[in-house]
Amino acid sequence: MITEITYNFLQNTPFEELLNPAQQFTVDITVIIILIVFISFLFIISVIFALITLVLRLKNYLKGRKWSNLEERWHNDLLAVLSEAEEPRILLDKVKNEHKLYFLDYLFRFALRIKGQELATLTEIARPFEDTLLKRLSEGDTTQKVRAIITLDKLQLPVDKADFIQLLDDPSPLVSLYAARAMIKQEYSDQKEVLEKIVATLPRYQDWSYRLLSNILAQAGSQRAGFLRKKLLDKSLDKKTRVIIGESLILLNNIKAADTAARVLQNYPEDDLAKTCLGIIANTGSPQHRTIVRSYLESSNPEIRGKAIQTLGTIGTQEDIPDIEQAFNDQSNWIAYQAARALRQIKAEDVLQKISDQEGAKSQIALQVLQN
Amino acid sequence: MIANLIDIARTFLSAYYEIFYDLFKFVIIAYFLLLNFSYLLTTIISFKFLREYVYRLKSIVIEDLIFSSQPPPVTLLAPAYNEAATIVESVKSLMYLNYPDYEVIVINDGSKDATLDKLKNAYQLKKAARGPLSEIETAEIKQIYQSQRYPNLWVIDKENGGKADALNTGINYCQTPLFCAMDSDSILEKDALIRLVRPFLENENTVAAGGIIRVVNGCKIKSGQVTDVKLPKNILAGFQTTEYLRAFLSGRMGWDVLNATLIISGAFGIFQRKTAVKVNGYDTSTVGEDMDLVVKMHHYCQKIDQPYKVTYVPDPVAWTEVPEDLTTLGKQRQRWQIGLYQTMTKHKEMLLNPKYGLVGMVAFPYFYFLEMLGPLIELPGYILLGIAIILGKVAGIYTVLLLMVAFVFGITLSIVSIGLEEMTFRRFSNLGDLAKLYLLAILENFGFRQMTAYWRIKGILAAIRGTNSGWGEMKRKGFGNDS
Repeated sequence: MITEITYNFLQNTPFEELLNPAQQFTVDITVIIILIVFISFLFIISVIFALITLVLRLKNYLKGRKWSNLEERWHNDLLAVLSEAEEPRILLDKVKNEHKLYFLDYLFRFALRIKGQELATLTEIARPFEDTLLKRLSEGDTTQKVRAIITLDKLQLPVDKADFIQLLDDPSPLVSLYAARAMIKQEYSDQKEVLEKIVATLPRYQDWSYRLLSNILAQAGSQRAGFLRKKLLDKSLDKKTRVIIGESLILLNNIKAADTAARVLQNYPEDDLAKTCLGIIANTGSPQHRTIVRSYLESSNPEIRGKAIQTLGTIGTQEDIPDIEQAFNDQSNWIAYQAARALRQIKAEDVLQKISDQEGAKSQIALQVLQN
Repeated sequence: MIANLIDIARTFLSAYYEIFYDLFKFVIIAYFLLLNFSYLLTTIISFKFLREYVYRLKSIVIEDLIFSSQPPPVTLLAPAYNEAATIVESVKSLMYLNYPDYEVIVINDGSKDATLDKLKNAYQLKKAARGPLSEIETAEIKQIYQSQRYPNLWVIDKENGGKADALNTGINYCQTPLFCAMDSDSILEKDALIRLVRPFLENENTVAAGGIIRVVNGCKIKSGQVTDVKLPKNILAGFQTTEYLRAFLSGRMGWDVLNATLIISGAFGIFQRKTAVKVNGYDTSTVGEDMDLVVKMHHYCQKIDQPYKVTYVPDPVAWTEVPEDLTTLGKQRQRWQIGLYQTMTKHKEMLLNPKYGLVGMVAFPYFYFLEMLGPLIELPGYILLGIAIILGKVAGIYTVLLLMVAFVFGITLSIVSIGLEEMTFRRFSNLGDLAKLYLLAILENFGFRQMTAYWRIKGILAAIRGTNSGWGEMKRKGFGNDS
């Protein structure tokens, strides 16, 4: 019946040729074989994948059960050791050779939740297995090396310079970065040389966020601020390295860094470095740096103008209020926002109040800063 | 006159019928092969790189990343329109994310229901001042509120202007270098934000990053978090679960490896605010505002020769409710197709333009010819095959084999995606769910895919007619204990 309807439908249409028996297809055996092979191939792939998935599920289930059983066995002993009710030996005896790495991983995850004396005890428990991690450092792939570095670091196991210094040149920037992070916190006798090497390695991580890199560098601690200030002035270093160094000085709240930043600013450096140096002055500068900061109020880069306003907010005096107020006329609302915050910091609430009484978006910005 | 024209057309078609017929056959086969081999290629690429990616994740400790990397502050933009059923629970899930510094801005886009009142009551909203830092044109703002319970929660009540307009409002009021665009009815996992910010920490040139969207229907939710992942009972939602797995684990991962990500889902993506403002935010004249923004960013960065990266990361998860009835699903798919059409035609100068690299030469042509125009070939193809079968014009063996190729291809791709899920994230812990996923991967080829093609054709025809569908409203069940 459907055939009949279709015949009637197609009659007297341009497609009535379809009704012509001469249009019948002929069966080509080669095409059929190709199609059958192709279908079989796809079918076999589907079946293989379905089986792999099921096997994986089973494997993962068994693995998960095995690990959770092991952890259960270790857990009570670990708590007893941490509360000094048991000797570490009791726990260590339960760790079989083939479970060493998993045990370290278990300790690592535990270490993320504790600190102080408990962490120190955990370090002692992990110490006999240190060699396992060191072996990973030399023989593992990128992920294994990084995981080993993080574990050594978190468990506060001693980071031997000889083992680590070569990792800075590891083909993987990720390994190099994590090695740098682990080494930077150490107190080697020649720590300054280690720092030199780390700073020289910084261009390897060019793509990484400078916030992350400066945070790592700042872990060198205040005692290395002098070294970092010297490096900030070093024009032979590439600009991003200097920005990272500058940002780390901000994190270290180093008072003397403001003078160093002002010296850099005298030479009107590239945009990012200028922003960082203004940030350093905003953080630890004083009114004596006002002149150099003010010279950046007319920068063609709105981000630098905004940073200069922000800096004046922290180091400026009542004399700077007209300039900051003037920034409200800047076409960028972002700069107006920085100006509002600067006025608040400089205790010019009356000016802010006056602006907020006017109409428009900028008055709302002023009001927001006043209210918060 | 008209009769003459019809006669001419009829004569023309009769004379050239064979050519048309053969050409159409060729186009259908070429389309079928190209589409499926593209899927296969992205799946193979994903298979290799997803495994490597997940292995690499072992070297990342989230707590470590949060405390030692100084992640930049982020503003979550959650546009809401008539979301009274879910808004309180959804916002609650946003207030406890594992991220050190973030704000949440809910933009109430002129909802006609009690969305605003529910927010006011639940979060003790109080009128507050907040200034815009950019001036992308948007519909009028009625009032801005700040929560007394959570000082980092803001609500902007504005006139209705559509989702893109609401997001643009959010961008204007965003005061952080990054913003996260999301659907207000989505649930973000606790670590989702830090995981999605990671690409910005690892590469300063990143301007946009998208995460994975998973189907929440059927899952158990407690205190705004998914606690038990289960497959939906509703078969349509089940089909969409396999579809999402295929799209996000095979498709998007593959495109990302090729560095040609063109889509970041509107339900969950992080963008550099500065670049979004430079491209004037979301386009309010398209319903595919999410794709349009990404394409604009590609366009802009390539044009000014700025190094940039648009990326997709498969581990940050946003859970979303998918339609469970044909009408809503049909509307959603039509809307997606309209959005695709609008974006593709708007930026057509990127098509096969070597200036835009792989984006212009591979990704754009794929979306243009196979995803956008594909349905116009696919559905007539089914019809033609149907007619030929009825008339006995195709040898039975060919029909059976061709259909089998199409179906087995579809099933293979879905099964590989399920395999990828098991190899990597293993969210479905129940063995029964795994078996159900296989079943769904087979069943979706018998009806669901054809319906999708039909809706997409409707969408493309609507787009050609110039129809715009505004907010994609959906019937919500709300996030109870069992969603």
